[in-house]
Amino acid sequence: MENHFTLEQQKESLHKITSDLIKPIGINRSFHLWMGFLTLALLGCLYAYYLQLRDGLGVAGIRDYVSWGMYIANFVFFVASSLIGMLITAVLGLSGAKWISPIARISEIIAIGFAAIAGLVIVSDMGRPERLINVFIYGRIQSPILWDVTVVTTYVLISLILLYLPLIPDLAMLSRNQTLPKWLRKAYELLSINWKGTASQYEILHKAIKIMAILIIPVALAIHTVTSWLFASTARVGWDSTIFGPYFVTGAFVAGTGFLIIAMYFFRKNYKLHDYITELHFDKIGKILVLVSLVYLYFNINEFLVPGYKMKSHEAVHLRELMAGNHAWLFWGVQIFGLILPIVLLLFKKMRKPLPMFIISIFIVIGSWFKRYLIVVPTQEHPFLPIQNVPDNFIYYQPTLIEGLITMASFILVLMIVTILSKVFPIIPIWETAHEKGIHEPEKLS
Amino acid sequence: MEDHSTNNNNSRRDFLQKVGLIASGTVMGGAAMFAGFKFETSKKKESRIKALTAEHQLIEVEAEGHSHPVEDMLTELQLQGREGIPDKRWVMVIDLAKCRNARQCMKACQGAHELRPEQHHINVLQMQDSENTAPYFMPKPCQHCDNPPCVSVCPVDATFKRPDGIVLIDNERCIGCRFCVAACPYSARIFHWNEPLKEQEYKENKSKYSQMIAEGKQEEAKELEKKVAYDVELNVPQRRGTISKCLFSADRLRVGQMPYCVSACPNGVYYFGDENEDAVTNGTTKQTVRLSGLLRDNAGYRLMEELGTKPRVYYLPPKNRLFPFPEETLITNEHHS
Amino acid sequence: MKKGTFISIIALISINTVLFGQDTLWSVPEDQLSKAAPVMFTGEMQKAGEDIYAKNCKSCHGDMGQGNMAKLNPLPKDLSSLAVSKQTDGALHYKITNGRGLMPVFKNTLSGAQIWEVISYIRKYHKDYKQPEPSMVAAFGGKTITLTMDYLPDLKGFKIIALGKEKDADVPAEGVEIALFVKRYFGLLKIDDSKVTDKQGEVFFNEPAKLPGDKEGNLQVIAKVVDTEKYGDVAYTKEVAAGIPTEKPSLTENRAIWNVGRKAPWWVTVAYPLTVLAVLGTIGYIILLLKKIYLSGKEQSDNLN
Repeated sequence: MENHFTLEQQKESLHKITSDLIKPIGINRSFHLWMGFLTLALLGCLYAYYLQLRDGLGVAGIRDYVSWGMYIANFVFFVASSLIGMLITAVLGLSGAKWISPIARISEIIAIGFAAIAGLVIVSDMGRPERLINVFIYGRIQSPILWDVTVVTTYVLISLILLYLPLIPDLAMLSRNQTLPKWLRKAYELLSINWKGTASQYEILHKAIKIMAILIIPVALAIHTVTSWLFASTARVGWDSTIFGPYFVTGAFVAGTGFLIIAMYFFRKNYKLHDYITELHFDKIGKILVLVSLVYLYFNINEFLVPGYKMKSHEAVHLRELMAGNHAWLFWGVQIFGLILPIVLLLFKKMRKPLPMFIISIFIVIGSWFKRYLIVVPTQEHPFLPIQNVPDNFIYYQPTLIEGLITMASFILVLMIVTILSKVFPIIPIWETAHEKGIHEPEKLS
Repeated sequence: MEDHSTNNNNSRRDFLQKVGLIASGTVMGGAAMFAGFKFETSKKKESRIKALTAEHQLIEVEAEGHSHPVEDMLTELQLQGREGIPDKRWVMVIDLAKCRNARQCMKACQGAHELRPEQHHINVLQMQDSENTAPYFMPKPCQHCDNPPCVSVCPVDATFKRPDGIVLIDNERCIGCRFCVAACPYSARIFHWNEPLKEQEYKENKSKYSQMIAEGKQEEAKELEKKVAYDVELNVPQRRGTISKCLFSADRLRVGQMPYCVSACPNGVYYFGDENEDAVTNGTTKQTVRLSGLLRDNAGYRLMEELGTKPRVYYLPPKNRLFPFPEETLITNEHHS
Repeated sequence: MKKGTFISIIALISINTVLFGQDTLWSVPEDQLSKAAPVMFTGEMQKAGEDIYAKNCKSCHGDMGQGNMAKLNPLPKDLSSLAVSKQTDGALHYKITNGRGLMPVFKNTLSGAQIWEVISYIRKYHKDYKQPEPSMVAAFGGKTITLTMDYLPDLKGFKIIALGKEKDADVPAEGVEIALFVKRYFGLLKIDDSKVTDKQGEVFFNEPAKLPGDKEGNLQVIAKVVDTEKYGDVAYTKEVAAGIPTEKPSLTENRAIWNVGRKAPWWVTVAYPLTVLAVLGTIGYIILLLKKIYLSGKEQSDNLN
């Protein structure tokens, strides 16, 4: 598609793009209200964490047998959700899909929010959080926890770089925009490292983005594979599986895509970006969601059918408990409403519109969270040896309110990060959008 | 044309630069690590002396020059606990034919390790392997595996295997991640979710101790030190937010005595000894027998051999029992797979 | 059906003796009841008995007459009480030797003579006690026996010679029962059955088959006179190279996933830092690129100025 617009037309077009995309930036009344609300809610939840610090992990429902509960399930969910950054920017970006450029930054912001807070979630599960430093002093390189710490921090770093690199031209442009407050422009200028938009600068930038997009693929695969190894490296029934790595990674794409669609819907509506995040984008992302969900369904079938066919004694108890026992409602709810129904619905073009997809995605995200719960908790309720001579609350896991509030805190923190990032940076890359509209040297026009 | 070649040069230079950067980083990092290992292994024990820290705990430090920060933080008891008892390979044999659920082992253990009634380092389980096989009682301590899954996953070397086979926990280092709990197939580990049983007593003793030190009453303080200092071989005082489990009573072995549970059993269930000596001694009758013979003659076995954990606890099958199995209802009401 | 009833009767009996029988009868064989100490109790014996009591009995039975026994079920008896004082010496000796339920077996921890010493100490607290006539048999006129042992590598065994003193001369002691032990960490491992000395006062034991010794194969072998009540605690200890030289490596010697970080398997030790460095190196390169962008931008603005 060759574009031959006149300079005047280009100028006008660029002006519209810039003003549309800059509009949401800045701190306004609704931002204050929203952040104030989040802060208040967070303070309430932090009180719950204070209680946990004061009285010990006993305030949560976890006990000696089910010793990993909601916190760990939530940690896995957070790591999973953060993988969307890699799927969009790296996998689709490198394959040459140009249409992703308006949603690439959204996915990167989601990735940073979830990955950064995942680290905090794991700290909330520690019996001795003040000894976190021991991991760096005494770290054993054989422990998957050490690998997880390494790889999650690396992923956060790479995601930050991948957010920053495509921002540089936008930052330079924003630093010259008179409508923005002065301190913000100063900060943009500092961050834009002398960006002039010359051909050589573009060349270096493209190269840097490409290298990072390649690097993030193994790192992202590693964070979720290593997270799956926290379980697969044990001999426990339900965890002792060789496909846990890919099983987790594909599950992560489902959860992440769900969050991306929710975010797309929200930003499109609230930041008035209908011209940029179009129905075409929803249609395409909807198809991707079907694809990753089908792959995930395939892994689910493997994970349950293969042991279910043999019914080895310990596996049989686990599977019965999941499919017909205590967890059956949750299990089938997650499989049907969180996976099978969304796949079927999204096959229809009518369903791949913004609002239906938004609703489907909410189901997918909730399903994904409980799916992690079902991976973490039931296994521990059936150890190899019987649970005896302990109180009843050691036998079945019952999450407590405090646990729920602390988990809530992690979501609030993600929302805060996403809100702030989307308020100080244009949520859609200006220069890339301009490039795609045929404006090749936006720097010269503005 | 010219332009093209400079471009080429550029990218070649870039490439070389990149390779150089990565390579030099790798080499430097590797060298640093190697040097670190060398330093740690080259240290001799003789060059260490004992000193009292500000918190009045005995530690070992390098006699001269600056020392390695990691090992300095260990108290004398922690170091001794990590080194174990030389030339030993502890082994326990549990004769299921003799266990009649007296639970004296559990009581003695909970007393020694200051545990609550629901916290078990050793737990006598009521077992029935399948519908038509006989029920039996099975005391279950930590199996002190030679391929311990719990130790493999520990991120901070807080739980560790000693040269003499015992798997111990350093609750001054444990971060409370409970990965070991998840990894143990024998459910041998417990966690202090709330305040340990004797936390208050420990706190009182500690403040008394500091007061004595402040008043210069060295002699009296020395007496109290035993109650205040953390003994890694007994895991007492227990700490909130950390793991505990069976330690084969490493503190008793050091003074030539058998573990608390072994000595407390009234029914001759336990044998304990050194695999290197091929001998185990019965805790009740104090009779010493050959380990190899005992296992051969009674068809001894280990729990879940198929997991490859290589336990140091052997079981003798529950055959020829001369007592019934009471409370059979408990078997139908069990929570395991 | 019949079999079932039979089994349950046996079971009932055994459960009764095990769980509830402790307070009822503790039957001592007839011939053991009348057994008497071999010598008259002396103050020295009582003193030795007090030490043994403090080490082995006090933790459960408490101090004599103080009632501070351990809170066990059934409650351990105060040994100064009438219930104990009315029992015969033989009954006490039998019970300490063989134990029952929570009362431990002492035959492998205390010698017969030591048990008599404990009894002599307990009897101090029994007012009406009168010691029966000592059972001392005039073997060698009650004179001491000494043991010597030789290891005979060619014969793969030990020759033990028992000598008794008679008129200031050593004479072979015939008919003395000897047992042979090897020292182990928690106790003595008995080698073979005990044997009786021949006319030469000699007895031969085969060496234990494939018993691990120390690095040189040394074992601490102990020959003991079995009838300690008659002869006292007579023993002879010798270190001989009759075992298999054993020097097993420490269990933490090899590199393994479960070992400390320093002893991680090579593949982890190499792969982990290399991977981390490769990723960090790439990030470092990106920072270099950013610096290039910065410099080229600066160059351009300098040119414009």
